[in-house]
Amino acid sequence: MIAHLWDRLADAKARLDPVQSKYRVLFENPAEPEAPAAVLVPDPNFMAAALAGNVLPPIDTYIRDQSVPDGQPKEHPYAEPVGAMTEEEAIEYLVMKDISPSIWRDYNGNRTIMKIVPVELIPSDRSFRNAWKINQAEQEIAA
Amino acid sequence: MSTLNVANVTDGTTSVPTGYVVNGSAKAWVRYYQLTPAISKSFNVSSVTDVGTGQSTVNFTAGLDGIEYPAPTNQSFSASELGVWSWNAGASATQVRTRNLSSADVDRAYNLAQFGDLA
Repeated sequence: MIAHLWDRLADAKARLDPVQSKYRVLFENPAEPEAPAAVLVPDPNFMAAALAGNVLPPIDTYIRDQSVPDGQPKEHPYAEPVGAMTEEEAIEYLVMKDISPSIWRDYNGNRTIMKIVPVELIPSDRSFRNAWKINQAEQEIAA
Repeated sequence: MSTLNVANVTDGTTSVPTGYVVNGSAKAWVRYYQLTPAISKSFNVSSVTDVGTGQSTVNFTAGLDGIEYPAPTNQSFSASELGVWSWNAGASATQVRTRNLSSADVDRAYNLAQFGDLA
């Protein structure tokens, strides 16, 4: 019998050291063109679980659960855990889990609305945080 | 992983049903620094999305079975601020906002605990 995801996370937290990711995900919501770019910060315990393997469920269970009404049984808590990921795979997993599909899957406009970047590229000066946009002149995605 | 299947927990004097312990436990919690931004302490959090000055979204790894469960927050920056509060508590994420006395959004470190029933 597979333990609930919450129990697996508790077990992983007890035995794994947190891992601070060297990546951040910048993204813009095309439905809110005036909004600043958002920055997704990976959780260190989540990263540790992803890198170790046998804790997190398949990403498609989260995507299917998005259409399950509240109060109805969800698939992701008891799904068979996936194996160890690389850090890059873990970030892709997070993108699909925590960012709307309208941004990472459905958008087909000309703007670059999502970038995975090294943490050093996130400005430390937040004086103009609400004016942040993804630089359209730089098309390369950090790897 | 081993599982204890018991109906009650006791310290030798007082006994409570295990349901009190399970239902009363925070299902997720996080210490988040908006200025960095970085997560320093957490459980059952997959990421925090920095949405803008003083605004963020805490995303859960194991989701809840519904919305609008209690999600108390606190920040220790200054007593002379409006403070921090959670809102729009969802099954997979809760939004957080920090504001000063002028009702302006400001970047602060905060703590959030999410209660509720797991999915």
